[in-house]
Amino acid sequence: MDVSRPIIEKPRFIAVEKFVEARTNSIAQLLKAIDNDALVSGEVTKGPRTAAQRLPRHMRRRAMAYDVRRFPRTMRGFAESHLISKHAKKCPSRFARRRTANTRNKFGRSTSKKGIWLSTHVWHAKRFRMIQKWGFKIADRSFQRGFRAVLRDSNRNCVIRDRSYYTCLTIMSTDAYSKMSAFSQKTCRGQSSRGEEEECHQLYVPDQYPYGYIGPARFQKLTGVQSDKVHVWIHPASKPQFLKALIEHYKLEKEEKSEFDQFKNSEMTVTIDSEHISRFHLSGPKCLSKLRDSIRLVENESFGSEHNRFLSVANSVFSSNRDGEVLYLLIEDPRTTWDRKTGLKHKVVSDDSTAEDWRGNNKPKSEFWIREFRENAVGKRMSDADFHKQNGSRIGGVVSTEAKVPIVLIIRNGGLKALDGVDIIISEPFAKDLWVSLQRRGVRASGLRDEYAAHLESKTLYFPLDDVESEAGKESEAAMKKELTEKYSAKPHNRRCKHWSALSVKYPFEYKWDELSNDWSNETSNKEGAFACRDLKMLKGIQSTLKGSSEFGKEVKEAAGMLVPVKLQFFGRGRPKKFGMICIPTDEDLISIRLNRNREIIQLPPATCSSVYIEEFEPMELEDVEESKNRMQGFVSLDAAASEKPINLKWLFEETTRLDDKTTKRKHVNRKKKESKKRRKLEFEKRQEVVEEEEMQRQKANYRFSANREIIGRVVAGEQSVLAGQGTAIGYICANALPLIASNYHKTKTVVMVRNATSKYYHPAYVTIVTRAVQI
Amino acid sequence: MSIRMSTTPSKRFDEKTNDMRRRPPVKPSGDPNHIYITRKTNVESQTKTAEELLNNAFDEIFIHGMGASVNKALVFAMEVERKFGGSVKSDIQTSTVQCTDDIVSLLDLDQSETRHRSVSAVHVHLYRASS
Repeated sequence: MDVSRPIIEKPRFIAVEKFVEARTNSIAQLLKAIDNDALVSGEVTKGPRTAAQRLPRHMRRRAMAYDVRRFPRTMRGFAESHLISKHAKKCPSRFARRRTANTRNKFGRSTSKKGIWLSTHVWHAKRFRMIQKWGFKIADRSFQRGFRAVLRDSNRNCVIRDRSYYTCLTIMSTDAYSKMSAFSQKTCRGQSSRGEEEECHQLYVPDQYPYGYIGPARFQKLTGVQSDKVHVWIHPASKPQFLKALIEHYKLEKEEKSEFDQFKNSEMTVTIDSEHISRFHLSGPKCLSKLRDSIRLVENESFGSEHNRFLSVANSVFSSNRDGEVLYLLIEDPRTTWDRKTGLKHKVVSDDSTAEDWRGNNKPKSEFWIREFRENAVGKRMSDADFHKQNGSRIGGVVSTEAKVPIVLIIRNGGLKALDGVDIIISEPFAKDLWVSLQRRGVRASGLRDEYAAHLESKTLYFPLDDVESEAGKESEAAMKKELTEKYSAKPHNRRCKHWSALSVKYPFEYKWDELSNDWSNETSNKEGAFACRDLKMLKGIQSTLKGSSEFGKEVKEAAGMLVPVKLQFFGRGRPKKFGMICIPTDEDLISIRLNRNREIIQLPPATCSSVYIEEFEPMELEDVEESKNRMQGFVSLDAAASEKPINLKWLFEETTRLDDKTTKRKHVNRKKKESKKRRKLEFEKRQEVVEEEEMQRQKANYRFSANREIIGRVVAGEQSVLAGQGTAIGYICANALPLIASNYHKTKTVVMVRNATSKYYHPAYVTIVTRAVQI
Repeated sequence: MSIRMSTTPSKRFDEKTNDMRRRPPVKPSGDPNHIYITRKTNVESQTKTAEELLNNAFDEIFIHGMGASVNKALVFAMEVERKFGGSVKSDIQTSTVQCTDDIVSLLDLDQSETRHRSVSAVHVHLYRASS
């Protein structure tokens, strides 16, 4: 017999009148809803929603909403207005939706607000993560491969990147090149100019050197008929600052009625992005040979010598070409090489790759830069449909079309491991064709993340992410700080890294160069702020001084606010990260590194305030237990015994009736809720107080002396290097601190300590000066 | 072989005001059975690679060394030969490689020179002996 069920008294009878009387209200409501004249009989909803609902159930048929003929003839006139097909068009087929011609029109996302699309956007968007950056939609990383594959190919094979987002400014004026030289700082360039080569310049706001850095730019100067033209390629991030400086310096005014942005004064015209050209960067030892296999050269007498030169150097690009050398080619439509399984057979040319001063004897064929010449080819371009129709109808495929496309090759041979190669400039409608053509020859495409990694592997700075003082660099730093702070504050409080209280990191998400350089400069205040040293001769001098050849000169000791770019090579453990700190090693550190380079050197929390080595660390005393408990607040212990709680026997065998009683239960729960809310609030307030106190302490602390070891600089980029097999980083250090580290030798190399912003471990690293100009 | 005159009469230049950039030397071949020994090559691990090449893929391999690594290249070749114990024979050839340097003056940017250096090189041809 079931005892637990309570006995319910069943009523013997119902007094109908009483029963109905008690429920009059609800019955009236119910009747109002269903027994309504407005309703079709048998329907409960308020009014019919579709035409079919007007019909009684037995007359309804399938698919009535889509086909008017399913209705009885008398109702068709009325039903027509309710048909779904009239309102919703059928979705076009997947095939139609994916047609390239439609994608751009249909989605129409290529606006400056949402990011401008490059000519290879559709190709990339299927294979890459696209991100919005600098007003463009740029491919970030491949879904198919990691960056190691890209790095491997840039060392052995060939890698391509679309750099069309660089802005091309056309400056037209008599003697335009020398007019632009006012912006370029000569001492920072480190590349000689000879004839019609492309050069990388460092742009500064005129008369503000060493402050007022704008960014690197590539100048393409032209000789002969077009000598009044200079093409300046700059990074889109530095475009606003450069334009502002340019307009101010030459008093330019904006031209209103023109299709491009144009600025003018009486003798000078500056147009922006008016050329409609794309720029690809190919890197790797096989870049020219892959390119040779994927293009058809046009038999043209005037371009003959350029073509011969291209064919002769294609196999030995780095040994026979100067940095910045330019080759002008005339090629057939790139689509004509798409379907070929084997490489094209070009004519055999005699090997004159070592020819001295080839460019001196052959005048450049710079017709590419005449717009009519390019537009002529663009106008003759066959549409895709036409091309494929013709291509299918011929046995060998289309070999030649009317459009003869001029392209420019710029040799990049700056001695950078993963970045050397060739830049291709081609007019926009053909850019995607050439891209696909190169893809079919096995050239690996890569994105922005790979470019950043390649710069780090080559141990050079990457503009603008690694830059410190230009507006573009500051902008990217601010964006980075915002992103990291958001990410940090989104974490629960007990999962956050205690940057200040545990690690003594004053600025975990920013650099604050001005403050750091101020701490280091001897003068009381340096109002101008920090600037990076880009004078190559001075950097060379500093490098040789670090090697111990001479004493530091006056210009280093007294340079207030000067930062020196350095590369760091880790020789023990350590995987450096952005925002790491470069510190001065103490004498004990140097001794311990000599004994064992992997010995751990630890930053201790400020309470204990002196660093010790792990081996010497004594077992904790009993007095410390309280404090350590405090520190462990909020951490979840993995020890099983710690989470055990004594339970009262009364709770365990509570009366069942009490639990069944819903009101008591609810009250109990509510009380608990209230208590925990109160507790949380108290805890939050307490935590807030601690945070505020910490913040106060942090604000008071001197940046330079904020940790156990004096901070001399910060790491702007770092990673475990794939090529070196060790940690590699790039950073800036204060020039005033150089004399202090100059004598710290380990195996004839200067040593500093580097600590990540999220770590307490100091790692030793060799420091060398970056004596190479930043390039784009 | 024709003697090439260097473009700069004197090979000396001031290292403080000039920057020298060495272009990489021309490789005789990019095929996988050509092994280039540099100062950074680890002979032991490279020996294993060479053995695998000879055992599996190729009947002959070429070992190239230049300048400071001539000695190392020869040591490496002898090591491979010793490991095969007579089943592999070697021919040795020496040559001179022309290297190009770009010298960029940091003071006067319109001046730039290219300089040629001659570097000694050694090429070892290792092949399976026909038995």
